[in-house]
Amino acid sequence: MTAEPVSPVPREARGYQGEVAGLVTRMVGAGIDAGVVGLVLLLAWLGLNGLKFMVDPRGFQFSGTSVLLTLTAAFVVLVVYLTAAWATTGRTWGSHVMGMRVVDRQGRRLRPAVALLRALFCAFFPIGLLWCGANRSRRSVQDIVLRTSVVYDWVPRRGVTQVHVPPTG
Amino acid sequence: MRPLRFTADLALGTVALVAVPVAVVGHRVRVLAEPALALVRDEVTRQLAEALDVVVPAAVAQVLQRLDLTKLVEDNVDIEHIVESIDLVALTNEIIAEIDLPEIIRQSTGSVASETLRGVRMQAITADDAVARLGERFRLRRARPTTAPAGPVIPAGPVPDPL
Repeated sequence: MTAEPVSPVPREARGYQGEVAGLVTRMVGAGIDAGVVGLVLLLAWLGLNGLKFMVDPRGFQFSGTSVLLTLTAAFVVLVVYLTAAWATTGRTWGSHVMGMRVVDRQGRRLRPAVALLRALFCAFFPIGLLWCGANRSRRSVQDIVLRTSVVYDWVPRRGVTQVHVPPTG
Repeated sequence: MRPLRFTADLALGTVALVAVPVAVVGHRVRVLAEPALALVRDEVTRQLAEALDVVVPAAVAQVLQRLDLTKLVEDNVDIEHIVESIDLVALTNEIIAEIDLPEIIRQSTGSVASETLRGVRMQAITADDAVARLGERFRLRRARPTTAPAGPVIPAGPVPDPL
């Protein structure tokens, strides 16, 4: 009798655990992450204005937003958010909701340097993520260059995730 | 020597004269009596079984009433050794997996949100597979040669019914 661990994952999803995630799941996750970044920016803007109000209530006016400043702030927040998430748990909020995890080829969590590189790559070349829809092994440009994988993983866990990569061709 | 040989021949002849008819008759009697004997044997067996069905449980019950089985087991059986020999973790895991306890817990405690989330995830996985199949079909179409290979010429128009 072998002691196999009981999986908390629903039966219909068990076969997909460790498989490389596809385009739709990734896009939904990325959309959620974009929402998180937008929310952070909005809260930062509101916090900044609140601070200004407390310092000078009489002369308070909402600070204007420039496109350059907003884009820069968005890139910074996005890169920090993605790096921190991938280097610690391997999953952003979007990945957590959609049941995905970013791992290296061995199924381990990304090293901080790799996480930072991938975050920069995703922030400045987001269209590269779409390549996973055309690539047989479901890898984005970022995954191919940095040798990473985004896999279905519904269970929050530490350690190594078993990765099942489709054959390339 | 001659009288002695005569006596031996006489004895053998007598034995043969007696033994052969006895054997023939015995075999015949056995053949004729076999069905009746089988019936008797079956009847005896059945009645004995019926009697044992009544007597044995009653006797065992009487014996058990006079015995303290728990104490006997405690005194004579190494329960700890038996328990140690069982892989309780594996057994428990197997039972939990068989009754799908996680699913029962999910159904009894899961909120509408978690059920919705599960549905969204599964639909996204299905959509991923559909996109992958579409990509595969596209790749196959591109991999086909543009010029048709030499082969039989298929006439245009409806295909004739072979029947």
